[in-house]
Amino acid sequence: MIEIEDLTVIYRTREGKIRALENINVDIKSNEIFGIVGESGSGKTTLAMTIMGLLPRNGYVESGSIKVDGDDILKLKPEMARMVRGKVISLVFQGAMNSLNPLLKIEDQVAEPLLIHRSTNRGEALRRARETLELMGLDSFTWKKYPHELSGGMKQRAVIATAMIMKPSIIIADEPSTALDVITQAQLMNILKELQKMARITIIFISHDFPLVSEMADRIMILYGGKPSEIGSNRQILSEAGHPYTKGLINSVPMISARSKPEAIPGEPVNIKNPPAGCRFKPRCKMALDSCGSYDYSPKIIEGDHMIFCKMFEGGKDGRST
Amino acid sequence: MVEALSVKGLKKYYKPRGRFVSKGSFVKAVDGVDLSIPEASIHSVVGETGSGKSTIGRVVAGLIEPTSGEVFVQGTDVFNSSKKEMRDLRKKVQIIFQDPYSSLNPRFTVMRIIEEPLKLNKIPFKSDQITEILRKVGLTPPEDFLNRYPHELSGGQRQRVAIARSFVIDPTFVVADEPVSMLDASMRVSFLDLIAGIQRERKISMMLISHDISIAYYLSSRINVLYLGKIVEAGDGEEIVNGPLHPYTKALIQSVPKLGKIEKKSVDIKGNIMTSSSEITGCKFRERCIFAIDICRKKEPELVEAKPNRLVACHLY
Repeated sequence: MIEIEDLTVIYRTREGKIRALENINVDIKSNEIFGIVGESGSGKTTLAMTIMGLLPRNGYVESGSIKVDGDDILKLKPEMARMVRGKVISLVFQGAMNSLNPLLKIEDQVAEPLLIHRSTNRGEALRRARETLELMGLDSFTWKKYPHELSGGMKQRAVIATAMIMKPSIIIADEPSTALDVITQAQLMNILKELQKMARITIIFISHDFPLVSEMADRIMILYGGKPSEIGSNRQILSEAGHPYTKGLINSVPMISARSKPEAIPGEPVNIKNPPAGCRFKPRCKMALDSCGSYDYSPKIIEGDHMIFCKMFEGGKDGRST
Repeated sequence: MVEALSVKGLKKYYKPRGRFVSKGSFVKAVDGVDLSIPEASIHSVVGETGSGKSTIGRVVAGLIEPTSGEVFVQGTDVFNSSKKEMRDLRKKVQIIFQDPYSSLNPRFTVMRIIEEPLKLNKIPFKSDQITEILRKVGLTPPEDFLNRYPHELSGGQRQRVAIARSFVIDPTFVVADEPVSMLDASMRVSFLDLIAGIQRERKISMMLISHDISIAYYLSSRINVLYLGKIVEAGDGEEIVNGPLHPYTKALIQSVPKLGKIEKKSVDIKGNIMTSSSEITGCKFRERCIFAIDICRKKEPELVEAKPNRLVACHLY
């Protein structure tokens, strides 16, 4: 469905070039929820923005390809790429509930993508907007309201309706629930899951909240400082984690049911303006060896598509036989 | 024994402004709250946006005046004391804010930010006190940070500066208002450990405010659950988390993300906090409650002792 190959994205800044994403290789399958976990500076939002063609002006793709159903959207003519992005992929922004236009009624807002992509006339667009809103659990009472008249959770649903109206096959949700209360967040997660099953879409779910991603995703990629740390199925990541960072994330969750005391990951997220040589997690890693300073991120493939990017598992493409 | 915090019948009503507001209507942000925190312990107030939890924190820290009710911090009446008593109290009470981006003056260096509370309270100090507190909050070596400005720091480092600023005057009572909610999830535990470490070492009393009951559970011994300005359940943290009584507390606990894939999260609650209005009769939670019965519409439940050391405001008990 989406094949990302050797993707490197760079920001030009006054202090020089920042390599926000480096050598990302990942396949996202149809109809799965693919989770991306990372903290500040991990490159997770850069990845979403690159797929959507929304990189800020100082950002550019240095190398690599992003194939959607076989076509490299980085190489398509701008017009075509815009078509793909509008019709096939939709984005639900960070702080999505504040991304609604305060001057537009909810139904007009949801209908807008149809009109922009000239798919239909206004009457038909409104009819489909209402249909989609209803699907999202927003009844006629909300259609003619303005964003300020709705609660956070309702706005969130409206934003997802806007993303759904083009009937995309892929939705990218970048921290869709930050700034929401836990109860609203849980309700939103249920909506996304239902939607995924009902409309058979692929969801790329991006968050810094590891437990939240673990509840949602079929497969998970863990990013650290613009590089992958570990990629695998939900079960592989949670029960067979190999990378010390993944283990750190698992152990640092303050669990409400378990007695075991969570253990913090020491240090601060990596400063990608000035990353350490070799493994970027090295300064925070308890298991670090001197040789980690020269780690080249060649993955260890454990089983199927479970990949670990760590010196301890030292490279090579054949896993178990070694 | 004098308690660290004693709040009785606290109410804070806001009069909405604007032309389209009916006369005599109030937003009841806090509507009759009693709290008490013994010395050297951490108690928490948990609730969603709009529950009034931050308002309580601000009243307790003396930043805003209540509509009615009394607030005693370590024996001093926060809103009815002489100037001298208030000056002494301000040296003992500190607040840690949620957002390290807006709570630090961007034009001050780290040194100036941390000196500020000492200077304002006319507390004599030596420069090693500043380096000492920086070291304590994990900004090492301190010399590297003294002359930096907030924009040169990461979000985590900023929050460390904010914590250093709160603890530098040796407060005996601290209000921590969502101290970790702006931080990456992977760093929250280390900050909670940092705060708890200083608290234990100096025997500070603390009120933690959080929307996340798992954070309250981790840090505090007693949890007070707030809904639309009223406490709906209060008790020992361990007991509440393992056996919540109020349907709202149950929903809060169910909503916390846990490790492991799930098909559907069961959250036994309807709508959201905007669904309820403080104007409705009976129980303010009833429109969101899946257990609501007839009496919930007629009579507002009182906060009663449902079992030893547990208060609940619900007709089911």
